[in-house]
This record gives sequence, C-alpha cells and structure tokens, in this order.
Amino acid sequence: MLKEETLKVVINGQEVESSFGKTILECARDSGVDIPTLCFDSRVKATAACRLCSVNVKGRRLPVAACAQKMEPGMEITTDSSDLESMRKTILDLVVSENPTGECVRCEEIGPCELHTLTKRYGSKPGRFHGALSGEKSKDTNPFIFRDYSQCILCYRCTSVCGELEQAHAIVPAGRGFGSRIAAAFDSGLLDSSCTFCGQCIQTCPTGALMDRKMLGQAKASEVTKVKTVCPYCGTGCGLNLHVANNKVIGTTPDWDSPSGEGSLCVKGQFATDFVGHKDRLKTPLIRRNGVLTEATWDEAYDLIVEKFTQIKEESGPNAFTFWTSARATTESNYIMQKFARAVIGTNNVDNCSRT
Amino acid sequence: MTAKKGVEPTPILNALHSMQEKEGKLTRASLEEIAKAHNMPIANIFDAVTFYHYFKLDGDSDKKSAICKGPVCSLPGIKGQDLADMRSISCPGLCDSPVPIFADGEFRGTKGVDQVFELPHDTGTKGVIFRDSRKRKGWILDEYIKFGGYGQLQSLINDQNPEKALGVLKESGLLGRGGAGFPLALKWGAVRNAEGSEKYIVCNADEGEPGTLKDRPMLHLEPHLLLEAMAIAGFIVGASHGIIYLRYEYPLAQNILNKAIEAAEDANILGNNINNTDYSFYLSVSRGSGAYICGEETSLLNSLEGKRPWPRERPPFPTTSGLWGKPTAVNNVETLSVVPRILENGAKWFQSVGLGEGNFGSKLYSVSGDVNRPGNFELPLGVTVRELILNHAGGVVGGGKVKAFTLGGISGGMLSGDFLDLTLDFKKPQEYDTFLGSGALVVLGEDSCVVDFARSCAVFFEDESCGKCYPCRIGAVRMRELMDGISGDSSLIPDTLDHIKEIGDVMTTASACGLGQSAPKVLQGMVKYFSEELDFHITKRVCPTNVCGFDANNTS
Repeated sequence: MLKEETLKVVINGQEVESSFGKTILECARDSGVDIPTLCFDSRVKATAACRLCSVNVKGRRLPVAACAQKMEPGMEITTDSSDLESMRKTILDLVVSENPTGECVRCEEIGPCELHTLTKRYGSKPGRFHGALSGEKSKDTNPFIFRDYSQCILCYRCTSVCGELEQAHAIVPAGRGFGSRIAAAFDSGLLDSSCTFCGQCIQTCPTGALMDRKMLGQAKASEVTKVKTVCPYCGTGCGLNLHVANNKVIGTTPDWDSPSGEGSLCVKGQFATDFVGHKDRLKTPLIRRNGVLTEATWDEAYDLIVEKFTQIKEESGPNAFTFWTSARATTESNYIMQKFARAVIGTNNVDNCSRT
Repeated sequence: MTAKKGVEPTPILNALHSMQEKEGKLTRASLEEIAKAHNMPIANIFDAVTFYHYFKLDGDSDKKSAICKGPVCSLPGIKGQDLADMRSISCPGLCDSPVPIFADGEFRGTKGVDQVFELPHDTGTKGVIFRDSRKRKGWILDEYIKFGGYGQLQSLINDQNPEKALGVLKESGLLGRGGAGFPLALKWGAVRNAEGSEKYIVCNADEGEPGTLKDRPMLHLEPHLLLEAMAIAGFIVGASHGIIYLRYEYPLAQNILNKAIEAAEDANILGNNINNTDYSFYLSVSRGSGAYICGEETSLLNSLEGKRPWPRERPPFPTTSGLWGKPTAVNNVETLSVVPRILENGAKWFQSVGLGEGNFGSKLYSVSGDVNRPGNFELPLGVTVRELILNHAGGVVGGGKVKAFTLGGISGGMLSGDFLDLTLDFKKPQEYDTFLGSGALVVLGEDSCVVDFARSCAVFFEDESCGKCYPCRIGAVRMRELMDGISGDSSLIPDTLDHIKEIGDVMTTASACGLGQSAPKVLQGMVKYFSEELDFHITKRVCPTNVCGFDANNTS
C-alpha cells in the first residue's frame, strides 16, 4: 500500500521520495530545497499569483508554478537555474516598482516582512522599473486593522485566508488589472462588513499593508520580547505570543505551533490584551461595606463567602443556590465548580455560559 | 435523472444582467437579493461584478457613449479624428466597420447594422461553414432543416455509435479553431472517458481579440449549425447540457441564439427526449459582461459560475474538472460549427479541403486594418498571407505595400511585409515565434507607425490584464509606459529596449495564462523587425510616419 502512495522525483539532480497529492513546493520544502514565494500560505488553496516559485520541469515548454503543480512520478525538476533566479529578480523588481519607496513600518516595528526579506536576498531595489504606483492608504477607521494598500503587492493571501480559511468573506479582490484592489463589499469599512476581526489577514500579509493598529508606534521590533502563552479568554486554549516592550504588553501574534488553534485566533485573543495593564483591572478581592466596594484580603473574602453560604443553606435550603461557570475557565475548573454545587451545597442548579 | 427544460446550469451571470436591465444599474439591495438566492457571500458577488466593463454598480459613472480605441481603430488611416477626449471601450469585434461606437447599450459600426450583419466575403471557394448561407436563411429552423440541418444529429442518435463519430473526427485531424489548435477528438475523447455522470459542453463565443470577428457571422447566420454541433458533442461525450458563453458585445447574437434554441426545442429537435428518443440535450446562452480574459477557457468557466473570472491553474484541465468541477468540453464556435460538416462528408473530404501537408479543413480568417476590403474570409487552411491580404482583402488602402501584419489578432505576434509567403496554418508561423491563433490578421500599411501600433496593443493588454499574476499585472503597465516613452514622453526613455526585452521575457515565460504570455509579442516583433523605425523614435525623437506626437506632456 505504502509503495503505491509514494513516488520518486528528481529535484536539482537529487532523487527525492515524495507522496501523491503533494505539490512540487511542498515536496521541495520537505526535502530542504528552498523555493521563494510571496503569495503562498499553506493553509489555503494556491493562488499562484506571484510566480516566484516557478520551476522548470523537464519536458514542459514553460516553467510551472511549484505551489500549484502536483507531483507526478519521474518528474525532473530544476528550482535554481540562473534563468529562474534572474526571472525571480525581475519579478521582484517589478513588485517593488509599484509601491512607494521609504521605510517599511512593518520591518521597523514588528519584524522583517517577507517582501523585504526576499528583496534583500535578491538585491532587488526599487526604482529600476519606474512608473505608476498602485493602491492607496485606506480611510477605514476600524480600531484594529490598519490598512495601507500603497504597500500592498496583491498577493491575495488576505482574501483567501478571510474567505477560505476563516469563512468570513469580508474582504475580496475587486476591480481588475493594475487597478485591482482589496476591498470589503461596496468598499465599506471593515466595521460595516462581515469581518470578525480575527486578524488573520494581518498575520498572513507579507508586507506592511495590513498591520495591528494598536501595536503601531509602540516600540521598535528590536525592543520587543515575545512571550509564548495561552489565551485566557476561553477554554479552547489557543496559543499566542504576547509582544512585550518596556514591561508592557503591546499586542499579540499567534503561536503557529499551538495544537488547538494552529495559529487562528478570534478578535479577543488577537486584539483584546489591553486588560493586562489596564488601570481598572482587579488586583484584590472587593467586599461591599456600607454600600461601597472596598479592597480586602483573600482570607477576609473567603470567610465572608463561607459565612453567607452556610447561612443561606440553613435558612432557605440548597436549591436557593444556582451556580454559573465561565467559558473562560478551564475544563478542570468547571468540573470542580459542579462538584462543589452538588457535593458541598447539594444542588443540581449548575450551568455554564457556553452551553447556550 | 435528466434535468427538466428551463433548469439553468449557470444562473448568476444571467441574474445580474436581468437585474441591471430592470433597474439600469446594480444596487446594493439587488446584489444582496442575488447573493441570498444563490447562497453566496455578498462580498463575492461584489468581487465578480467589479471585474467587468459593463456591470454598473450604483454610483459608477455612466458610460453613455464611448468609442473603440483599440489597436485597429487607432491606426492613423482609420481613426480619422482625434479620439483623445472620448471614452473608450474594448474591441467590440467590429473591426470591419471602424470606428465602432457604444451608445444606448448598443454597439454600432460606422457602416450600419446591415453591412455588419453580412456574410464573409465571397472567396470563390465553396465554403464549409457558410456552404449554404447564400442559398437560405440559416437562422430560420425550417430553412436550416430543408438543407439537411439536424440530419447529422439524428443519424448519430439513430446509430447509437458515438465511438464511430469520434473516430471520424479524429481521422479528420480537426484542430481547435479558437487559438490553441488542440485536436478536437482528443479533447472530446478525454471528456467522454472522464469519470462522472454529469458533463458539460461549453461553447466559447467570447472572441475579444482585436481584429477577430469570425464568430459573429456564424452566430448571426448559422446559429442552428452551432446548436446541432453542441448536441452532437453532448451525445459523443455524454453531456446533457450545453452553454454558449457569449460576449457582451454581441447582443444581436443573443436574440438569434435564444430564438433558435426555442424553435428547435418547440420542434423537439433539441431539449427533452429529442425526437422521442432517450437523448435529451438542453441549451442555454450566458452573456458575459465585457472582459477579454473570459475568452481564456478557465476564466470563462469561473465567469459562468458567477466567480471572479481569473484563469485557473492547470492541471486539472476542464476535460476532467471544468464547469462546477465536472468534465467539460470547451470549444470555439468555429470548431464546433465544422463538426456536422465533417460527419456529413467524411474525414477524407475534410482533409482534402486544406492546403499543404497536415493542413486539414477550412479556416475563417479575419482581416482588418489598412486593407481595402476588411472582414471575414472562409478559405482553405494554409493559404498564404499574400493571397489573403492582396487577393482577397483587396490589398493595402491606396495601393501601397504591406508594412507589417499581426497574427492571432494581436496575440500571435507581428511580422514585417517581408513575410507575405508565410502560410497561415498551425505550424509554419511558429518558426517565426508567432502563431495563427484565432486566424485574425491586422494589416499595417506604410503610413501606419509600428511604434504607435505597438503602444496601442500595450494599452489593450494593460486594460484587459486580469490582475492575478505579477508578470502580467505589473508587466503590462510597465510595457505600456515604456511605449509611451518611445512614442512621446521623453521622461521615460532610459533603458527602454533592455527593459522591453527583460519584462517581455518574464511575461512570456512566467505569466499564469495565455494573455500575459502573448501580451508582449507585438512589441517583441517591433524590436526584431523594425529596429530602424524604432531607432528613429528613440534616438532622433522623430516618427518617420508622423503619427507619434512627441509632446513631452502627452503620455496618452
């Protein structure tokens, strides 16, 4: 069985074993051969827009896009000929010719973007081909996603991720040709679209066109420490990296290796970490004394709870209680809560906010 | 189970057209209604609608009247007036009646409708597709039948031997007439053998290539021939639905085709249980909305599905995964229209029609530009450029020499007048880095400027690039800008020829589809065959034919 599923191909003169159904790009990367891409995101169907991954396949008249072409037995593939490399350089020169020159905010503040990592590698500089620029800064005022399409290279990763992966269908390609653009329906702002602000468009963007608005202007990339953690909002437990600068959480990026979300986050995990350092955040228990909430110690709080619970149970019976647990709590905490309701108080009045 | 009459396999485009016709534009409310009815996200409908020239969203500027500024209509001997201030439309396929105008939803050639609605020129040969067209009105069902029409479909159904028919087509050596020249029998065989019970026949009637107007007379004058061919195709491959994807610019053809389908269905010649047999074949017409890329078969399929008409990556090919992912035969109007003739007269007869070795059958050639008699010519495949231009199309206006001519509209490349002995077939032009394509030639006389013409071609491809892949999306713009530099704007001159070569190479080798791959071809022909004229423009800043403006402010 196994034998039928595997196939042998030759990549740059080396025989490589791969399996049916894999693309040339997947197979090459599996075997340590690097092929550059800009429009590729392994989570969605290949758009094959950038053509940087074009490789030569023996017997084919023209190069093929490695991201979209499936492996066939016996293929002889060349990924790094001088013709291919010079084609890549020309494509990159064309790409940088459509955006304004100047500092890349993303490289500066968040970390090197994919585009500029590649242009450095290929020694590609803006200005060799000059002419019309494409895209403009969006007037969208949503609080989360900064959209500057003058930096956009129309790789269509954001629209694929939005539609195909997240099924949000908020942003799509619109128009055609050099005037193509990324837009929500009727060019509305994201707040008026079906956007759920999951932030995945920002995470897949290979340039500074889409960025976390709240993270901007906070720190230089070199000053940021990334702290790997788990999102505290719900029981799903998505992995994330808190970006910390000057002992302050300035934002979040997904932990792509996290088994529960595989990098996908929701609006809360992606954008709502401000509470960590918020001035209204509770730091001690509060007891209402003479109508006013006043700070107390944990011992004082527990003493009061025990006293009142005992009193209520004696006066009104166990069914006077009802317990609600939170989706933000872990499965273990929820279990303990129902155990407490049933075994300690003696009631079945227990429920969880995520049940409805 | 077969579908009932009236079931539409591709409803979204038609729904958009109906809505636009009703309300004059597409409002948010109407798009939401369509999105809901077809279970599509509203953003995806918006995405598709914004792609086309002729869908009009609420708030879009009104395209009341506009004029063709395509490469043919911009030739100095043709345009006749300064078009700078007029709005432009993409080539509407009226290159035999320049310069066409779009007004009140209609496309009109300057010769008037009657002359546009005319037969291909009489070439003195018998003709294959238009064999009977001078003797009867082919668009009237009874007259079509009187001359043996629908006879081949009926024999095929009676014989119940699709393999045999496929064998005849294979032996005939019929190559696809849409541009690629792919063997028809191979394509139909692949669809026939593809897994799946639901299959489709799609007719590509979206000729949008400048200079190409050959499908128009077939659609207008011989609609039943096409319908019969599609039903034959359905029987051979095992499909029960045929869809004609018709370009927006041919509204008259839509009427004619719809009437023809209705008449044939009423007579039970098409539709449900044809002539009380087990074979049912349903036909419908889907109108495009103005997009050259939709002539590319995978873009066409996306368009039919109501999606953004970007080309798809291949493989898989439409033969196994086409419309709605089902096996689909996509064929050009001309390819389909010769099929009943081949079945009627046999493979040997078809082979005997062509000229020269391996050239089988006839070809419809469209000639436009600086010629005395522009239009369509049905001639044996393999005729020479000399015979076509000088004998049939009446030679160059004013009696001058042919300076240059293009092939395949403007996609097949450009050669100089030294190549008049070239045979117009699927093989020979490839020796000169050109290809026959749709069989359309644009002719430039000595008063035309190849540089200005190449610039017009670059403008066309910039306007029609779909915007998906980088080499074409960005390359097409840079090429047009470079041509602006050569023909007028001096700020764009440095490195011009090197850049044309470099960008052209990348477009040719790395673009995702045929549009980007062939977009630089005319420019490459200019560099190769007209270096002297080019040099005048670049170094002396002089246009020998006095066509280019050389006004530093004039970049249009």
